[in-house]
Amino acid sequence: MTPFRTAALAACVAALATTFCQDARAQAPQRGGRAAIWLNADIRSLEPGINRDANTDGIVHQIYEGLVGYQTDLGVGPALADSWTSSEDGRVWTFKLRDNAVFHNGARLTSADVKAAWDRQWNNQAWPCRRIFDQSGGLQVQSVEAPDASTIVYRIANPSALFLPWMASVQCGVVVAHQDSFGADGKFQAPIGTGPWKLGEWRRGELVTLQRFEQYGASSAPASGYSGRRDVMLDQVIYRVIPDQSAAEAALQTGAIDLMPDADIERADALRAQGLRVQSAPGLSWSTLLIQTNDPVLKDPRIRRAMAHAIDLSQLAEIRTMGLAEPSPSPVSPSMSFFDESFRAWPAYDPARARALLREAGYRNQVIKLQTNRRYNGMYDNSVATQAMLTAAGFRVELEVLDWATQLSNYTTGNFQLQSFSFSPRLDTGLAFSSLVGEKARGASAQWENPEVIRLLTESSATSDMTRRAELFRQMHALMAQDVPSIGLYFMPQIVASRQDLQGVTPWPAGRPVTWGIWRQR
Amino acid sequence: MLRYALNRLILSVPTLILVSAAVFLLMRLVPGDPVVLMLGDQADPQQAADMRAAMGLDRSVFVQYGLWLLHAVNGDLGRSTTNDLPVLPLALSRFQVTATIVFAAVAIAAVVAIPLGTVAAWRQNTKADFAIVSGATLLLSIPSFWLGLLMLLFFGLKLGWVPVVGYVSFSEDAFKAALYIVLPVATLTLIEIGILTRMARAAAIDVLRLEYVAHARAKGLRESRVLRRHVLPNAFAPTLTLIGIVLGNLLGGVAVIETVFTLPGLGRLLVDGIYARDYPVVQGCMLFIATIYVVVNLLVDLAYPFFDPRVTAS
Repeated sequence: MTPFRTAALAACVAALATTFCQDARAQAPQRGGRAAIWLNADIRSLEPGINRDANTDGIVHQIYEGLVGYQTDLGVGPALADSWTSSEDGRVWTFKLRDNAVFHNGARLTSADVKAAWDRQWNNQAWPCRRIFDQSGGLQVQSVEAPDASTIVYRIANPSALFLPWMASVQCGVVVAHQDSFGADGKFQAPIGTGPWKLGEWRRGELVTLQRFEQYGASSAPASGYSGRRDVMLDQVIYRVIPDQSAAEAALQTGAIDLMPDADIERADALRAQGLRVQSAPGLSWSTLLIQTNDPVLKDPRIRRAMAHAIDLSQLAEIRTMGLAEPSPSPVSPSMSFFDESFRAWPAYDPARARALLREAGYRNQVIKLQTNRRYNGMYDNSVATQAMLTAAGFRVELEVLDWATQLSNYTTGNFQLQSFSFSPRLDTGLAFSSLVGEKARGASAQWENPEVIRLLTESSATSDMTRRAELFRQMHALMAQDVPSIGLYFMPQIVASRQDLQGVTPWPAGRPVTWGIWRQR
Repeated sequence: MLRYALNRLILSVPTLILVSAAVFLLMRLVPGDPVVLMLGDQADPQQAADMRAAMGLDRSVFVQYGLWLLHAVNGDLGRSTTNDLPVLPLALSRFQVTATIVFAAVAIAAVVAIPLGTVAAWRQNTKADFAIVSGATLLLSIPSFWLGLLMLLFFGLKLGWVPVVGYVSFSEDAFKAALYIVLPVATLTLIEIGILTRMARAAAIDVLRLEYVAHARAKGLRESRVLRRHVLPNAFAPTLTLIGIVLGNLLGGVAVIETVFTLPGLGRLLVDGIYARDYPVVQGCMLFIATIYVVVNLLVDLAYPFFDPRVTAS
């Protein structure tokens, strides 16, 4: 080899090595920078648990942590608690706190803070989840004790498989705010949590800025959903309020925002064509057709079964989710560990059978009102499709388009015949059934009032035997296919659009974006 | 003049009370429960009832209204049920954003539309008139959200000249603030040009038919001078009335523009309040908007004698 060739070869090797190293550097997570995330509406509050909605929950869980949190596989994992044990009778739950958790004001987390956070929520009239823990729902927290600085003990009246899921619940799990977050009068003043982000600025109606908390003491458990390590790479996250979807897409394209956590599924291809990264994950938001089983027409199970035969679930799911989700007549999502194919069992699409059932039930072409709204396009599109299918099978269905506040109010008071609805994510199978089952006299929003099912649900909550719980859930679904108290359509997949230079974005079934692990490629 | 202004203000009090009563009753008649929206589907009926009592929503509508009015008279419009902020400072801060855009847009629109309308009237039934009237009708017909989105996509997205979303106040950074409001102001200006041009044209046509214009022409004045000296000032007065109405209307909130361009203005506050059944915000905003109408119309009436000496405050 001549010296020239040797030199040329060496230069090539060096160039390749440099390129490889640069590539490797580009792929390795980098610290610094900021990212802007889309919010379709402003948050309501930063006081944990009070005056909340989905947007609010998403930011509250960046600032604060709970004892436990949901993992991406929908199991419950460690957060502020490193470990926990349950007594043999299942009535005493002991949580050991991780020793490196520090509040944003520099104070070290102790069990007294956890107890104080619990007491404050418990005594607050505006805490919507009180009924979860006060026996109304079968679970009763009798006392919370802090025997030493790193131990917190919950005593519950009866063993419950729902205790831990509720503690991890995004909506109702108690996250810990430092006592200085509240003034002497008990009023909330400023968010002081132990999370990896602290509040920078909240400009009402415009944006919420979070700054990285440099003293954050991470859990030793691997990061997974709202559980485990929260290693933040970015310096700053800005949640930008953009009410209009088209404006939000324009903002994503120009870089005014970097991440659109809840992109419109119908726009996924268009966003991809514009050079944006579009990812999807199975969702837990359950689209349903609610049926008022007390209604004079719809109280006849044959009419409801006729509806089930009239709706082509496969076609509906295919069209509405762009083929990303299968039909889901049951509240048990394919993402849940209890799921198996038996939860797909449902009256087959058979318009002729639907007509026969209608004749048998003596349906006299009475008008059935289907309530829907245009705030959530998915609900509206579902109502139009189901109206067409029901009409084709001999029903006389009229759409009643309401604004969302009115429809939600009608849902809670039971003032409807049919409603196109979507349940917010329930991350536990028992909780998913709980949103349907109950006595209408105690809560008009209960959809399914069947004593046998209430008994099965109560038993499923009381046992921690996973095999038995699975069997109980299967029995409940089998009864659901007979009773047809509502018609589950599908679980809407999560569509997350982001700019190409934003790395580490990982959609998960809970839907709310997890900001730790996200980094900006420079 | 001062006496006239005071009289007008005193006379506006019953109007404001009527407006507040109507809004109060209408909001209560609209289905949808603020407590349900606050608590979500997790709450039980007892808790919702407790919360309704805590918010005073379990009392009769008349008692609720009486209490609200009593506080309103003392300058307390209540606190938002959505975010617990006092309504009056909230409305005032949002009004600043709306006012910045509206005053800029209406001023530019007036400067463009009044001469344009006068020229169209002067050249009535010619190609120039046809072009101006067609352009104005077109601008008038375009929905503001569509024009806003087009502007946003073209100037913000395709050309990248201005930011597409967000807001910066002038006190924070004047240059950035100007950049952020260019598109909303331009959108609003274009739409208002359509409205004002047609009004200015109609007013100028009326004036052009009057004898003193014929007299000025007979005197041998040049057309430009006739227009500048005799037509424009006299045609401006009726247009001023329309400008007053437009200002009052827009200052009450340009919700669509504010939504498309993500501006934290009064209109968006009101619309969000309606969606959330945030009674204090809706009631407070509507009273605020009614007051703006009254004040703007009063100012227009007070300004009228300066432009039309035939009209006096007395």
